[in-house]
Order: sequence, then C-alpha cells, then structure tokens
Amino acid sequence: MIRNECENQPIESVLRENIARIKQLSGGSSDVLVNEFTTGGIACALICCEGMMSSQTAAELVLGPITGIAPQGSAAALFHYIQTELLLSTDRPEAHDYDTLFRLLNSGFAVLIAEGADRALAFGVQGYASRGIQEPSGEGNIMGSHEGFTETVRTNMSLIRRRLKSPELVMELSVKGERSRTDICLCYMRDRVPKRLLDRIRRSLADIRLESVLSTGYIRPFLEKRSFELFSSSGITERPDVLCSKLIEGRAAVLIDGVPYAITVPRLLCESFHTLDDYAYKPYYAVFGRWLRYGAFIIAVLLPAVYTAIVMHHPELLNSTLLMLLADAEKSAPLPIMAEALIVLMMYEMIREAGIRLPKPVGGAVSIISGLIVGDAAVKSGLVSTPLLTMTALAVLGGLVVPDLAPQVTVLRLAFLVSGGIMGVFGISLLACAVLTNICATEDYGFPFTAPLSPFTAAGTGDTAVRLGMRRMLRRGFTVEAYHE
Amino acid sequence: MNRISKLQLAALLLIGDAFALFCLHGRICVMTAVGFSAGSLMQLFLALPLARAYDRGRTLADCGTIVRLVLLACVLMWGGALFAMLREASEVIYIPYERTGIFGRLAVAGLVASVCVYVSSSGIKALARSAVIAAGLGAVCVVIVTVSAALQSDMGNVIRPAGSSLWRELIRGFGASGGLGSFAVLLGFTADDRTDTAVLYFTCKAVLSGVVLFTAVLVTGGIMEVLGFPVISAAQLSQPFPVQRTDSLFLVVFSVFAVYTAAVQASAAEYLAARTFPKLKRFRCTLALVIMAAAGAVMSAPSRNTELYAAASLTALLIVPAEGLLKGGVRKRERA
Repeated sequence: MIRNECENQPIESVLRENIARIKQLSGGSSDVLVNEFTTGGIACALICCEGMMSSQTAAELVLGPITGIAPQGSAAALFHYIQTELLLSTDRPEAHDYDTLFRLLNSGFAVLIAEGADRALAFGVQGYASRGIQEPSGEGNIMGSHEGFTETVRTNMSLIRRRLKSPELVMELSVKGERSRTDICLCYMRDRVPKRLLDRIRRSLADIRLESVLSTGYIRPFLEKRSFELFSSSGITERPDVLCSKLIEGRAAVLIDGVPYAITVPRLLCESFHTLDDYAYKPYYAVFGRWLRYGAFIIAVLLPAVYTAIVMHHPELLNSTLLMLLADAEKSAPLPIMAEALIVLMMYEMIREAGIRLPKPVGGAVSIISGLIVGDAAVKSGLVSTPLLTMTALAVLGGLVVPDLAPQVTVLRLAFLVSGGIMGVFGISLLACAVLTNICATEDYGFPFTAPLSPFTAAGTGDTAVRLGMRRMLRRGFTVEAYHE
Repeated sequence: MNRISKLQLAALLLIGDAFALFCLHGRICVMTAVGFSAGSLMQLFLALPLARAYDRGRTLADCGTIVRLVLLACVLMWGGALFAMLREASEVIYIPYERTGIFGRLAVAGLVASVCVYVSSSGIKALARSAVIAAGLGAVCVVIVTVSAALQSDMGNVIRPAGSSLWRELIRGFGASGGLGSFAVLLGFTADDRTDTAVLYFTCKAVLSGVVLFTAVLVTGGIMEVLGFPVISAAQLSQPFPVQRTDSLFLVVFSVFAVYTAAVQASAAEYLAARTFPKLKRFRCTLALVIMAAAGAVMSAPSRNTELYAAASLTALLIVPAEGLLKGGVRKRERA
C-alpha cells in the first residue's frame, strides 16, 4: 500500500509552521496559493488551489465577509463565529490533518487556517473548468433524454437526483486512489437494493488499493469475480435515464469523478439487448427490435464461421444453385476461404481502430478510403470473393447493432471462424459449448449473468423475451432480487 | 454444496439419454420405442427408494467406500462408452479429420475431452445452467428434425419384426441408460424434492425415447436392415426442405450433446473421486476424462454389450438404497 507523506499528520496550531509545512508538502507547487491576512484580530491564511476554484465565488462568498469580522478573543472563537454567524458556503467541512486538508484543497475548496487553531475550515467554492452536459456519444436514443454524464461527479449526481427525487435515493461519497484521491459515489435506492448486494459492493470497494482511478476499468475488476469471464458482470452507461431505470430495479451504481460513465451492478446478459427506446415504442415494436438485436448478435458472432465451415467442410448442405454460385465466386480467389475471411475481418478491425483513434475529419477519410477503395479493389482484383465479403459485412453490421458487446463479438467472431475453418460445424459446436459454459459460469454477488433464461425465471421473461405493456410491467413490481440464486 | 434445480438435473441427464439414442446401433422397431419408454417408467419405480433415501437426508458421503467405488466404476464405464459411441457414430456423421487415421481420431477425442475438462471444471452450477440452454436448443432442433421426419414417414414401416420381444427391448433400454450412475450422484445435488425430480426426469425420458425412436422407425423402417445407426439415419433422411439439407442442425446437436454428456460423467466422477480418494486434490476431472477417453478407445459401444451395461445401470440405481437397507438390518440385529 502506498502511503502519503502527509497521512495522519495533525495540523499545527502555529500559523507560520502550518504555512511552511503546507508549502513543503506541496513541494512549492505553483498552483497552491497562500493568502495571508488578519481578521478578527487573528493572523489567518486562506489557501486555495489555482484553477480548481471560482475566484469570483471565493471573493464574493468568502473573502468579502471573512475580512470584516470584528475582533475575537482567540482562533477558536473566530472559527466558532465563522461557522455559526456566517453562511459562507453550503459545503463547509473541517480538516484536522494535512491529508484531509490537501484532499479538500485539491478538490477546489478554499481552506482557512489561523494562528492558534489546530484545525482548518474549508469552504466549497469549486469552479474548475469542465465539459458541460452533452448528448451521449455511445448510447444512441431517439425518444429519450439527450443528456449524458459528464466528467464531474457532482454534476452526474445532480443528473440522477433530478430524475429520482425520492428520499430513498442514497449517494455515498468516498475517496479512492492513494495519489489521485478520486471521488467515488455509490448510488442506490434504499428500499429497492438487496441489502446483501449492497454490503458486498461496499466490501469490494473498501478492498480497492490503487494509486489512481482514471477510468471505469480501474474499478470494475474489483467489483467482478477474479476468474476468467468473457463477459463483464458489471455494466456501463453514460445515460442518467438508463442509470435511474437500473437503480429503480434494485441495482447499485458507482460514479467516478473524471469519468462520464457509471458502473452498474449486477449486470445481466439480456440488458445488453435493451434500449431505453424499447419503453417508448409500442410493445410489439419493442419485441421486434429486441429479437432483431438477439438475431444480430448471433449473426455477428457466427455468420462468417458458419459460412466458412459449410463451404470448406460441408458443401453438401448447400443447395445446388447456391453451391454453383459460391464455387464460381471462390474459384477465382487465390487464398483459402478461412484465410480470406480472416484477412477481411482483420482489415475491418484495423479500419475501425483507425476510425476511433484518428481525429474525426481524418477518420471520415479513412472510412471512405477503406470502404470504397480497398474494399472495391480487393473484390475487383479477385483477392476476396464477393459472397465472403457480403457475409463479413453482414456480420460486422450485426455487431454494430449491439455495441455493448462489441469486444466480445470481435473476439468470438474470430475464434469461431478459426474453429469453423479447421473443424467445420463440429468445431463451432465444441467452441459454442465452452463459450456457453463460460457465460453461464459468470455470476457475481449471487446474480447469474444468464438470468432469467437459465436459471429460468418466469417473471423475468416479461421484459426479456417480450416487452409487456407499461401497466403490466408496473404491476409486476420487479426488482433484480428476483434473479438472485 | 452447490445446489441445482430439478429442471437443471433433468436437462443434464436428458442430454445424455438423447445422445445415447442418437448413437443407438442396430435394428429398431416399434417394440424398441415401447420397450425404452416402459423401461424408463420401470427405472422411475426403481429410483424411488434412492430418491426417498436422499429426501431423508442420506448422502453419498454417508455411504461406504465400496458403494462410491461401484458408482465411480459405473460412471467411468459409461463415460468410456460415450467416447466409443462418438467414435463409432463418426462412421455416419462427418467430423473433419476423424477419418485421417489414428492421429485424426486422437485429435478429435482430445479436442472433445479438453472442452469437457473446461465445461466440467466450471462447476456443477455453470454446467447445469448451460445444460438447460443446450437442452432447450437441442429440443428445438430435435422437434424440427422429428417434424420433418414425421412428414417423410410411412406408417407401413410400423411392423413388428420376427425375433423382437418387449423383454429384449427393455434390457436394451436399460443398457442405453448408463447415465443412471450420474443420476444417482447428481440427485443429491438437487435443492427440490428428489421424488419429484425423479418423476420429472424419468417421465421426460420416457417421452423422449418414445418420440425419437417411433419417428426413426417411421422413417427408416423399410431400410432398417442396411442401417447401422437408425436415429442418425432418420435425421439424415428427413429433410424439411426439398432443395436444402439440414444435417448440420443435427451435427450441432450431436456435438453439443456429446460434450455435455461426457462433462456430466466427468463431474459425477470428480465428486465421487473427491470423497473416495481425499488425497487426490487436483486434476480429478482431467484424470476422469483421460480414463474415459482411454476406455472409449478400447471399449465397444453399449449396443454391443447390452446386458453388461443394463446390469451396471441397475446396480447404480439400487446400490445406495440397498446399502441403506443392509446397514439398517445389521443395526436392528445388533440392537436385538
């Protein structure tokens, strides 16, 4: 475990020593500003971190009122006066050690220390620059809200609170990361979340020993099982409305300061096929959309593998017309079908990666070059057969329908392709057994990932296999505890 | 102890029974369907003492070492038989590289065994959950194949050939029920009432056997004399679409069921080995599968040694309650 230099060091009552200690602990960092002044007859210093607080708010709410205080007998009397007579800010924690002092300072608080006081008063005047609330980039939605999470945890908390004004909504703030001191917020509905789940999440969070928390990927492994799982048993969302629906179903969520995503626990496989729009449309259309996504997922993972397996090992399964068509197309291709399929899929993955990493204007150009020039040229030159390209394109398209499962789809598609190419349908079946078992073994906090399919829960099918009407859904009073095993 | 539901247990075991039906070798007739179904119901009555013993709190840990060893032998023997069935069935089902000599056969057996190691080492809960999904998909495929087979069927095939008897088919049914060893082990894992579980499993087994065998007879009755594997042949002959073959559907079901059947035997063997040989702490599952694969290489399929497998099935079903009765009798005598 990494220890901070200032951990457990109490604040001194001598102002000079305190200022010297703060400067020493901050290494003389240029953004730590110490403003010394006298108020109420006591020598004080207001310390703040430049860029983390709003100068205007600090001047109006803190500096103005605080400098005009009538003489007080001691530092304790001065602090008592400030706390009881002046409402300088709504968030006014105290610090008794340097560790807390620096955490507050680096979170945008203005910290007041005084001669003779062995504690510090902090005033919440945060005002750092941050991205405003924007439309989520990854979770497209037509009929729902267009607000997404931002990088500021408190803004994200307000986005949730605005949607769930119930007093049952609880948000527990804590700090993680020995160096980053990142604010983490555990959210849940007190009356919905299973108590055992909450206790175990708290224990998991308490076990986190990290230097820094810079993305959800730092926290998620601690919320999931250690064994190898293909699919994550914790979910991610960048939409406050989606998160609220999960909280209402009894799930818990973790918000991380600096990350515009929330982690939800537990997560089930069926959730990846749900969208908020399902609840905006008529049930029959929602059911159609869901089954379309289930089918797209199967196509995305299996289509290239099945095509390759049938053409390479089981051509008798094709009808004569299709067989002739494929034989004609593959005749001119110089590579074996499996190699061809692998090349096309890898090409797509490279194009996708380039599109993501490159600046947006260049990313568009990459798509045009790859789609029009490389793809067209590959087919025209006979390097890749048209039927194979069609199958691969369909599979890729299927994967885009379920973006939540993109990493799994990518890897499984390649694995199935290799097994199908080498061992035919038999190989695909063997790999399917292993994958199915892995998915069914995924279980965290007693919630099987494959619920409500296996173990079968009839109550759960109302919002998985079909989508019931809103009145019937509400009558169910469903919470995720129904899936607990 | 990990608990599974009765539905999950039924799925786990029915997969094995379906696989044994697919690999059934030799001539079948309507009497076979009747014999297998009646045999399943007879097995239910024979399984009731075992279920009641478990319901009263008896576990395999309470049984003597000999009982566990006998059950372990039954489970391993049936596991070996499964590999033998897979090997023999590959004569009529195309598995790439299976026919490329000894290396090909070893590679296929090794591949199946390694997938089984992974599947069974994931734990009984994961195995049971995935078995329900596999059984569900399998049921859909079997229904498609059966419906298309029924469309191709000929009622003229429903004849009783000379030499067939209900007794013989009953024995044959018991011989194809090697999964009763794992039933005796896994029944103790169920959280539900064991008698209800036994009723559900054996009823489903009777229906499955009856439907599959009767449909196979209807489709292949006329050419039964020249067929090695009537159920597989029935699936191959019954194509629902005139211009499109659907054998791949059957191949998928066949492979998936093969893996799950072997994995169930490996899990049962692992459980028994853990209680019989406590010093053997690691690789129990792998060892069980290696023994099964090796046994499969030298053994013949159950269809060729019906009586032996039937005796093993009966022993697996009766040994636990029989030991209980014996112990109870001894205790009574001691008290007297």
